[in-house]
Amino acid sequence: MGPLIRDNVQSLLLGASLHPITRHLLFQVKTKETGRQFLSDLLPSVSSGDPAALGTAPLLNISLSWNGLLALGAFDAMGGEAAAADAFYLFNQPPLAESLRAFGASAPANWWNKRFESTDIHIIVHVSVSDEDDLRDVTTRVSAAAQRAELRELVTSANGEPITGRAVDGFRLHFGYRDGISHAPVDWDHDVPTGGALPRGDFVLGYPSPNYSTYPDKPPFSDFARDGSLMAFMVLYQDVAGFNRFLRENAPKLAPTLPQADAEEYLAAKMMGRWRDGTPLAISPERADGTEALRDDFGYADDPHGIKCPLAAHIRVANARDQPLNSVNQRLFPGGYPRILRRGMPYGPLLTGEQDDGVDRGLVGMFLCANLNKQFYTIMRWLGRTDFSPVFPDQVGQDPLLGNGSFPGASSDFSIASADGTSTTLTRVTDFVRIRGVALQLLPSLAALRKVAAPGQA
Amino acid sequence: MAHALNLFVPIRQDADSQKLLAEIEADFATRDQALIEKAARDSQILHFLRVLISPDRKYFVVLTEYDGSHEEYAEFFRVNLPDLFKQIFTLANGPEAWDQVNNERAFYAASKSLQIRSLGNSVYDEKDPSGQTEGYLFHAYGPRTVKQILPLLK
Repeated sequence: MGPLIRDNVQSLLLGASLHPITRHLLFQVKTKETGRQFLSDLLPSVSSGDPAALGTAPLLNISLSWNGLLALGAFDAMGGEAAAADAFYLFNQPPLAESLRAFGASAPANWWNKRFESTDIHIIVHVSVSDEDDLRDVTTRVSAAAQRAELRELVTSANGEPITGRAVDGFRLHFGYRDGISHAPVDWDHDVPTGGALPRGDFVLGYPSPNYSTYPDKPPFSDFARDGSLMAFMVLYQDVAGFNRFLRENAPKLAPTLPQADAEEYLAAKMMGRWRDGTPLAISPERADGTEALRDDFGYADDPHGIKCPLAAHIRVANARDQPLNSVNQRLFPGGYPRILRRGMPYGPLLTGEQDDGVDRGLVGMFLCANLNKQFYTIMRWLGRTDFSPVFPDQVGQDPLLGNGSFPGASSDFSIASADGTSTTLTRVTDFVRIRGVALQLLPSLAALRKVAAPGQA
Repeated sequence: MAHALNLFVPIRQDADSQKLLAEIEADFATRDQALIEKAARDSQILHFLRVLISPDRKYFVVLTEYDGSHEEYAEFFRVNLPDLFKQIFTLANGPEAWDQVNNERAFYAASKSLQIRSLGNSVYDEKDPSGQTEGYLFHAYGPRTVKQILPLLK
């Protein structure tokens, strides 16, 4: 197949926006006709192409849930819901709690501040803007279209503000780590990728993937989905006070000879696998080195016991690179570790210290892939139970940052190996990250959006 | 924690299907059993597994207790035991059946539709792939997984 037609692909899929503010407006459609009218109103504003080439103008993307597609009558001319359900895979089911390790405070019953359920979400309008003026203008425009279409806006906050992410001190996340370093390179223009890039078929529906089966795979649904992507929209609360307390209490156990502040930085780096400035432990295990902060060309082959970078460190679980998979997973993932495209932004105000202020803060994340089971869900499963590789002595461990202590059978212990053969085991007593909500969305092509908005004219 | 798979595959009652069923039955101990044993042992997610034919020879039955989600388990079985499942689905729907079901989505859908819910309710309020509470399954070892149990036996 030829080069990707950028004009038909929403910008969210092709790259991370550099805009410092994002907003996500969630809607439920009341009638097919008014829902289509809403899409028609917004279609001229939907952004396509590489966001880096689109400048500072506001970006607007639209994603649709399974229930949203049904409510909009997207499949009416394709055999209806039953035929579509046979064509899609897992997208037509609510988010899978066990695979997400969504237990305890992260359980689906607690999502969206208990104001609505994931299945209520039909349309999400994703906005990226450069400043507050643009944010107000675009929000006003989208809200006016929603009111005309009598859409129900789904709001999680008590003050009525939509989910809004704002960059914190550049690329920082709430725990202080630099974000946005490791992005999977994708060859958008060839079925067989060049230059070590990942195949576009791993992320864009309708193109061959050597690594995964992707669905829908048969017309008319494959034609409808082409140039789109599947997306998990997640709101993740971050317990900054609890994280800071954990660092203070446990850093001296790990590094008793270091000053407290240095020991805390050392522990924070061990948990992430990078120093907070981004420097990978695999490259610089003893100190942050700003000149190496953006490096992404490393592996773990020379560190099989996790002495430089702990085996369960976040980035080593999320993408273990050249670490061996166990035999079962070698057969399931012949192309190696599954990858997803990440788009995200922190939300909520900064917090320092160990006193929680009761204010909601965390990360709004969008995770794009072509196969929910083999990519998104698999990574979530492994973050919640480190049993995918034979290197883990403890096959029931968890990523220390995203681990869910309520997941039955999982261990909250985090082992940090030392060069002298000893190890320090620290136990989390709280979850630092809790799932506030997950919605599975299709990020359709422009052509598909037009077809849903005006089926007779497409 | 373990989930129960109660897979009841209806067997076609024509002569060819019944002949194939007899062949599977005769060869199971010397052919399929060893393959299943290796895959199951490698997986470290299977607690127990057995295969049987209903007395009226109308159902091929696969019963297992496994760790993890139904989605990853179904794909594990499809990838690791294709020969066995090719025979099973041939019994159910004829010689072309495997070609139609041998992909991640169709195999998952088939395994879901052929699952028979156990009586009662899950003591851990676990949900089946459709979001409904699973049937009752006794857990002598609580929510421990195979990977947790095996090291304790050494």
